[in-house]
Amino acid sequence: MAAKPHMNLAVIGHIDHGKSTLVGRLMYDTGAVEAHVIEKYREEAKAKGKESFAFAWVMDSLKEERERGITIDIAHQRFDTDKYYFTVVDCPGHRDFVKNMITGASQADAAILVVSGKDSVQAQTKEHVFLSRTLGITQLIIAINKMDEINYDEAKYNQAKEDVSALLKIVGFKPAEMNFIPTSAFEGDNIANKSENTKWYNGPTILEALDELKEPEKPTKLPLRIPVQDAYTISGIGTVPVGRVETGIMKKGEDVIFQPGGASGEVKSIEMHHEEQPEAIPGDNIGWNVRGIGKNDVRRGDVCGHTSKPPTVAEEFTAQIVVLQHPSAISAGYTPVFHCHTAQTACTLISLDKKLDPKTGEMKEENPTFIKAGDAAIVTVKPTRPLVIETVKEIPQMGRFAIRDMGQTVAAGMVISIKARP
Amino acid sequence: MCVSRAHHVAGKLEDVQCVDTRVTRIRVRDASSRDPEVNIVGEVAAKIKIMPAGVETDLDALKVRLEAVIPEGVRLHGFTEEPIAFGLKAVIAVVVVGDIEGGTDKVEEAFAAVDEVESVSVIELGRL
Repeated sequence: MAAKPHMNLAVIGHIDHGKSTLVGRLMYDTGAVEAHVIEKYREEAKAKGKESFAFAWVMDSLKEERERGITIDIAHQRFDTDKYYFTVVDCPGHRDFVKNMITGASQADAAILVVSGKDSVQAQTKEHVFLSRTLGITQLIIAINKMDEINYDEAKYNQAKEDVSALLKIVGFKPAEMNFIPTSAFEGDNIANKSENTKWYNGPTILEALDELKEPEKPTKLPLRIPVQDAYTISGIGTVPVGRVETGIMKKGEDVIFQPGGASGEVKSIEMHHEEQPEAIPGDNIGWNVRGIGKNDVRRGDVCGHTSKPPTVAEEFTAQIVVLQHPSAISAGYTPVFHCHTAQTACTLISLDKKLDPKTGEMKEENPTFIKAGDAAIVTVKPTRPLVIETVKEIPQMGRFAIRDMGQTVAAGMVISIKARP
Repeated sequence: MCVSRAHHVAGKLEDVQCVDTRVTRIRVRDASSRDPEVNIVGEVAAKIKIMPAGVETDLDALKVRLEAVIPEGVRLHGFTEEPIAFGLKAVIAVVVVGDIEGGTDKVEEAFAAVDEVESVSVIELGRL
């Protein structure tokens, strides 16, 4: 039998809306947690005087188990559906990890957004929706959770669905094409099996919705972009930039250019895991050597692309940002550091163009004088030195950034349009 | 000491534990809770890629220096090496940090300041 395709699944949502319980329930219902492990904790729970089987207790205990298992691989949880093999990416809650999520390997192919039917959209719901779009996650399943706590009330479900839909529209998601599912992860409603408690609901269960997801494709058809992590001089070889291929394919013998510097030449050799490769594809961590390129021609933050479709150097760009945390207010002239792929560049917000209403997605205010934590806005940005960046529409992997200031991740954003350097 | 053992016998529980005992655990849990995340100061495992200054950098010595600067509140789970290209190898460290303000900043900064470290980047994250 052919191996099932693999998908990375992020589970996102506000802090106590039931993310862990949903993950636990998925593991449990798909048999990813072995029966004897469940049994062991069931007995332990009983021994501690808990007559009834405590689901949360088991899941919590499994965390300990998992931690003991981690060594050099982050112990992501795994489960299978009929069609796919999933790895659960449990995203950190604190905003200061956003920088890592934006500049690190893009980890998730799809996400389940967990929203409590009782509390509906909360601060982190907004943030996570925005971030998942920024991180290039296009496939979302929305679990309107904790239905047991609102007596499986259809009206309350519809209200939450409406709230979430409005939020999704702001960042360009199409809620009409997404699955909204009333769930109780705690009770197991509509996770693996259709629930008797929600007879008014005709859609898929979480497992069915997971099987409806489209298989992720490597972005090999996009233009070649390899952000340079470091550049080395290796004796007998010459200058060797190293980095991870974000998009496109690079083959030996092709002409490539490093922007913003502009040095170009023919690819002499490509190595990955110390082995020579005829080509490199997205996700590959490589070192490569280009004819005629010296150590001073390439540095961290540069981007390599084909000479025929060179990386874009932005003079200015407009972006949609969400302010995650800031002690006061942000106004035009603010110059924090933008972390984008491997580049860290100070950029000035030269104008605040629009403030968006997180409830409706519509423009709330044109040319606001300031924006603060929780606000989403369209801004115009001018890098203080040349920066390679792309629009999220053309090359999503190269169009997102985190904004850092005072040791904090202040905001995250994505590029809408670019005024390229002539 | 325990780190070099962790390197040789990656995957074994005892290697992890010997590092574990040095730091105060920040997790507080109440197993009777129906929502585990409410009562837990979560923890995040981070995989950090450390690029050395060059091909000639002694990676074992580098790991000793890296371990020595692990900030308080951060647990080291172990090191491994990843061959990159043309004889160049990266050191990969897996650490556990609190899901709290600052994230991986402190440990990234500490690693970046170590002699013969070219660059530091977090390549993978996951909540425990």
